[in-house]
Amino acid sequence: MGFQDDLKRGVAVEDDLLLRLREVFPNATRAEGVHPEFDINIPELQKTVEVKYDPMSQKTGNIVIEYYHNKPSAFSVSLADYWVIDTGVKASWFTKEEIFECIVCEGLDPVRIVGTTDSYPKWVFLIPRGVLTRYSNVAQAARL
Amino acid sequence: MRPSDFNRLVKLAAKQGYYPLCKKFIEDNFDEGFHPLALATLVYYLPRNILDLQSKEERKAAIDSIPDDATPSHTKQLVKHGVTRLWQRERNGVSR
Repeated sequence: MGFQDDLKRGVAVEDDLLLRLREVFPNATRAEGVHPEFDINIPELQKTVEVKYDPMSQKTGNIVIEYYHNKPSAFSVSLADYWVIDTGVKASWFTKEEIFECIVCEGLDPVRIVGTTDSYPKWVFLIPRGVLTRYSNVAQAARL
Repeated sequence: MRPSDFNRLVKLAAKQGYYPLCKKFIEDNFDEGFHPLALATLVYYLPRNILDLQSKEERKAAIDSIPDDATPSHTKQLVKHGVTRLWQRERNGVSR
């Protein structure tokens, strides 16, 4: 699957989540235009959601959290209350604090990667999928 | 600059503990073009170094030394959260 396919699938993942959210929160909307701070707004809760589609994590075992791409980006600029990370198999919910906590408590170092379509390198954290899941209180609550 | 050298230098910056000193270390030791990246990376290394300060008062002063408008946004809140969670984990002697 190429970049364009992943992009389309990522949009479809956002659409699917938005539809499901609207069953409970009819006013939920997708952010319009260039909106790196969040992807979905839920006015009923006054909460916002960032949706990240990461199918490569099924192959690599790592979730990629980008924080710098020629300027602070993605995790650094997101104001979303929740991050939904969809691996193509499972979607997990996190707060930004939980993801940050995982990086700090696990003592992870950032790495520099260059995507095939990128003009500039990206700085990211590669977080083992199973490790990150342990930091989701939503996931923990679901196990109770 | 190799990523390993970059990370090593940012870790040294974080060892300064207090944000203005960390920022000065970055300004003194990185080319200007690297400053935004180094500051964006610093936030991930600061909590451990602040927790390692000697006293509660020093830790509080270090967190208070982070400007409310530090870049990236929410730097102060995230660092404070990180210090708190690291402290809680070590107090309880458990890993998640």
